[in-house]
Amino acid sequence: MSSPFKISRRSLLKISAASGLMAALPMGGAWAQGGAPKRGGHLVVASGGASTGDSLDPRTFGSAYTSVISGIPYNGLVEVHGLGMELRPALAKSWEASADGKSWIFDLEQDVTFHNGKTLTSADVVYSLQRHAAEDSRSNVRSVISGLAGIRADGPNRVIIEMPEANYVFPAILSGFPLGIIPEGSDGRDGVGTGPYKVTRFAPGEVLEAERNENYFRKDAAWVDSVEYLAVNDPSALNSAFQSGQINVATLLDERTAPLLSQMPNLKIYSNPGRGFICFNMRTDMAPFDNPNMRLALKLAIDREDMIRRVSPTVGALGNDHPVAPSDPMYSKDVPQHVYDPKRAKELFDSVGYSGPLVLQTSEAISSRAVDMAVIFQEHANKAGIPIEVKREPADGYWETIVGQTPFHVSARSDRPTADAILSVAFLSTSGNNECKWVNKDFDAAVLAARAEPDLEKRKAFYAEAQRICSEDGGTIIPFISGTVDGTSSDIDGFVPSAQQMAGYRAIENVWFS
Amino acid sequence: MSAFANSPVRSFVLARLASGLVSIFFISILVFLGTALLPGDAANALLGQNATPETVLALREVLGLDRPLVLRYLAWLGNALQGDFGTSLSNGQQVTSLLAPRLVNSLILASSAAVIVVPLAVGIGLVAAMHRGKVADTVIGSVSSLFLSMPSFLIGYLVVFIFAVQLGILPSLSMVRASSSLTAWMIALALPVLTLVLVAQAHIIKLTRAAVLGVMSTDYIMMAQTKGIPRNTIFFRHALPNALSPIVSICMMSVAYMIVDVVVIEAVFNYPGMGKLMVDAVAYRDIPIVQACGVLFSTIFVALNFLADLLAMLINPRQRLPRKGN
Repeated sequence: MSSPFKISRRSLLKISAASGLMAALPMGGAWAQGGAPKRGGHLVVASGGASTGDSLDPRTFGSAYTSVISGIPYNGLVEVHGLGMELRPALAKSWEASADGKSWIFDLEQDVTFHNGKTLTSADVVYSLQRHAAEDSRSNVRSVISGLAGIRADGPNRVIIEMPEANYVFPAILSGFPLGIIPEGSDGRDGVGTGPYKVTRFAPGEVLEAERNENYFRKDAAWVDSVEYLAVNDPSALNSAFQSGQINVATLLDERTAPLLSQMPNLKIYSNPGRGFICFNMRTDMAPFDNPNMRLALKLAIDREDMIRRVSPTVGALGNDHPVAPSDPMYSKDVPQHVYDPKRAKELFDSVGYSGPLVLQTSEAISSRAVDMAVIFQEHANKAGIPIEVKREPADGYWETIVGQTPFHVSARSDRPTADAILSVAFLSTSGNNECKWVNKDFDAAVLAARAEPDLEKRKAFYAEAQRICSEDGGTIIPFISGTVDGTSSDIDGFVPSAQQMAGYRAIENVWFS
Repeated sequence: MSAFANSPVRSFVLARLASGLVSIFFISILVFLGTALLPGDAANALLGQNATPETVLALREVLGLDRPLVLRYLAWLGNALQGDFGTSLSNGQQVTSLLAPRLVNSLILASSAAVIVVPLAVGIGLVAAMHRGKVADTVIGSVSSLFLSMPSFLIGYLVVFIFAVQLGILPSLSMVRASSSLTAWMIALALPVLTLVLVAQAHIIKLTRAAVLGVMSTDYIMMAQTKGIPRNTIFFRHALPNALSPIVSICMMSVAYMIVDVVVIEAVFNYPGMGKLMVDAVAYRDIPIVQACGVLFSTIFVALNFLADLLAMLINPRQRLPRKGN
């Protein structure tokens, strides 16, 4: 790997990895990676969020179920690993930026074959990436790929990706789970990739079955012989099947039952600190939230520690109304932390001169915790004399008709591989996905300057500035950054705790039966 | 045939078939309207959190969601009458081919439960009736009321908790496929079938008991008793045959209601049947699947109702005879 910021970045990651270590240790019993990896066995994995409409085309991946498929028949160019989300090689064995930072050069691993016997070349990579930007693409990285200046092959083993402006944080984007590489010309529906397991049967919304790819380019992976990946949408069914030993690896378990599960001797529970969050959106272009004092009043009217204690005691990390997680290398410790200050909140609220309750819309569609969070927020704000009225909306259609549409509502954001990705997608004034319609020229300038800055320390300073502006002026209240909870049966070894669920979606190729 | 041509059975069958078809027609309108009125549409649900106005518009056009409702209904009805329920919005497959294996799975689950629950519950109901007011009757009554008052999904979770989590003898996930062996099917079906049996038994037991006791309190039974005919002979030779007709329709109705419970039970046990397909399709706004499932469930319900009335009529000789004046 020849990334230009390798050394300083590595040392930084060590610190964040150490600080995050406590959170990721299994909560019950001893954590022992029992001896050397062993081949063999049939691994049963389960997740919710599946649908009969699921497809093996990586371009369609987005749900809790399909994101995990990405680690079965596919590989991306790069992967993120561990608690610090360290970037590491996958199909690209090394990468480096051009001098001006406007293009990135990826050198591919050689002698990699697809499940159909074809050898991997740069043409396959160019094809696989470009189809995300196609007209009919519904890929959730479409805007990222279509925003590039060019993707081209340079010989059979080199791919060059060009950007309109310098971007020194780009490679991590390619670790996204929809960016699996398929053979040129394929529509991806047959599941042919380069990955550790070949799909033998796929019944959408029911099960995916796969067997080991004997030609897998990683010799120290793909330990189990076969994988059965079940779709279990009912959380109680998932929980009971996991408890009764029918499932070896379960992902996205209910955080509130995790402490109970971790006491069972036949299970190991992993809490991943994570980068996603549930947030309160205030439309900054709508009254009364167009007034920054109103936004600040509400940010000070929430007791974050109490909320974490009651809603996310195992994996919640204190939030500060900007989206960068404390476990992120770009996290700034210098942004003043918003603390619960009922008196100051009330003064600010009164200064706006708004009368009547603020209607806060929430729904199970976000998460069962979203409803609890709204009610707890109401309680905190009422203590400060700020009247909030919680309106519980039906789950059906909540994402379409409420999120990003109404003045004050609960929303959520999933994991993104970098601070840049979440800051750009959710907060840049030019993003179509800026739910609060927040416009701040200084913030935009800081983010754009950061990604174009080759020096790590200077880049961190720009991101710190972006975090500060977002925290002070932004329309999003982020009480805490959430994590996810994964679990394995106690006979599974090799599960590496990560900031993302399922060890950055690669858990299946890494685990073995002890 | 001429006897049949004039028989009340024939006119009954024709009348009921006609009214059944009319019901299904109106149900199809309700199902179509209901699904059209759901907030949010498939385009939004398919694109999820990453939807932008342009992609939503483009997808709506592709899916034909921009056409007027009446036109969409007529086109859908025309195709449905030819057995074509359209293609799934989310994966482009034929709804009929998606539905067929799921329907078979649901029917296997429901009929396995029916085959067990009908004789069992009728038998228990008869025992309760024979021992009216005694300990056996009280115990049967209270146990069946207990299950009657619990929602079916709760019974499902209880069954899972006891047999899968605590005892660990049966799987809580019913993963089956057509190629599974008979033993695998039986193991997978054990808990969902047990749950359905517990859900459906109460009505059959209570109504069987009531039907038999209703006949037992009629004048001709009292006559038989005063003549000194043994109690068992009265019960089995005189009372039971006359109570059979209501019992049969109760059983058919309970089986029909069980079809509704199958939707919930399949979700609890992750059983790959039509109910789970429908629940998932609602969540993902896959309207053609929801519509087809809705119409199919209603058709099964109407058909079982029809069958219940028909059987009740055939069993009761009085209703088979031509009415005077016909």
